[in-house]
Amino acid sequence: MRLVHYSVLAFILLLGGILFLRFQYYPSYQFLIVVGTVLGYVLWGVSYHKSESRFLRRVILEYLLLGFVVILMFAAALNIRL
Amino acid sequence: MSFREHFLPHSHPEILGHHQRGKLLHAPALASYLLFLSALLFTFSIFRTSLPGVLGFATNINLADLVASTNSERAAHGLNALKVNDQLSQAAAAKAAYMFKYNFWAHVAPDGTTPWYFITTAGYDYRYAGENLARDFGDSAAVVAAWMNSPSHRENMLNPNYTDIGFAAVNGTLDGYETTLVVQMFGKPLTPNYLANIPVQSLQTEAPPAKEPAPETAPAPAVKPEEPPKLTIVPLDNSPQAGTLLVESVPAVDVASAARGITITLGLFLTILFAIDGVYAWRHHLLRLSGSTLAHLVLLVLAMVGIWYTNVGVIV
Repeated sequence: MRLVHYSVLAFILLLGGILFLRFQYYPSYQFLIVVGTVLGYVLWGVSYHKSESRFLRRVILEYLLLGFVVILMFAAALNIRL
Repeated sequence: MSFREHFLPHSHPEILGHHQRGKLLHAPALASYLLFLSALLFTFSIFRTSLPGVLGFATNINLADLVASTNSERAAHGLNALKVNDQLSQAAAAKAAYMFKYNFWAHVAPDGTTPWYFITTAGYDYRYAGENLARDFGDSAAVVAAWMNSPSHRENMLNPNYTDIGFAAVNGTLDGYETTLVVQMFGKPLTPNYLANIPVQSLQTEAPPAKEPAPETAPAPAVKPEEPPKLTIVPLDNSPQAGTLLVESVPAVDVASAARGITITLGLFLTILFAIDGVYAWRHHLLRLSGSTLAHLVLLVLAMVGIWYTNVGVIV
């Protein structure tokens, strides 16, 4: 079951990476792709920890906070005006 | 609380037998990294508008390099070299000035003014014409590389129908930010043999209005674009000539480099913390109620690779 979950995660991140490269020189689109990928990442975390019976608020908070950190890192690097 | 608890997993105070991550990875710490990044974005935004000389984008665009790189790409594909045409360069400069004056960034202005208007007003009667735009690039090579990586811009760069080229690189304020715009205009002059048929190779990303000449694949009758009133193209004092114009902007702090350096450093810091945490927990067989360390590590490494390859330059 873990293999399936991690395969899904690999697919989400790979898709995000490919789209990110595809839209090089279009920072606004790249930023939207990052936001979408992080959203997929958080949802994956929810699904994974539910299946592992470790679905706790603070675990999901960890995914959310790390996801927001990654989004803001890209916002700074891509010169996105928030 | 010992110093090592900041970095290494330690006993959970409430759940007996369970451990938690190092304190630098707890929710309050992650929230403080978020606050730091928010402050960074805010600072960049404020300083770029109020003190662009202190915090801005470093630019070094050389028009001779742009021409040479364009012709080098064409030569590599067995195509003729383009000659710099003063009228096309004037048209490019006028287009850049128009974008700054009316605060837009597109091939077609909000008032409907098209690139072809600037070309014809500069006195260049075209048979074929095209336009590429770029902004916020650090150097000439990056501009040409970006255009070559975009199918529609690449089509313009490698169009065998063109014989002339014009460039303008202009610093100004767009949307409240100091910006360097690069306008590249292509053309082939109208000759008497083609008076009955004036297709335009329009390779802009958005579709031209209906009144525009149709693309080459669907030749249209000889119709010149309708001209908007009251726009006078004034040749710039430093009219772009190949080999003579260098557009340079050297702020005290280059935003692009600073943002990339700071975010990658933060990403590396978090990656190291999660790696230490993961290895320690694995070696000591610790029971924990936390997110997947492996997933976090993969996300952070991918983010750092992505940020390393980001480019703030934009083309349209």
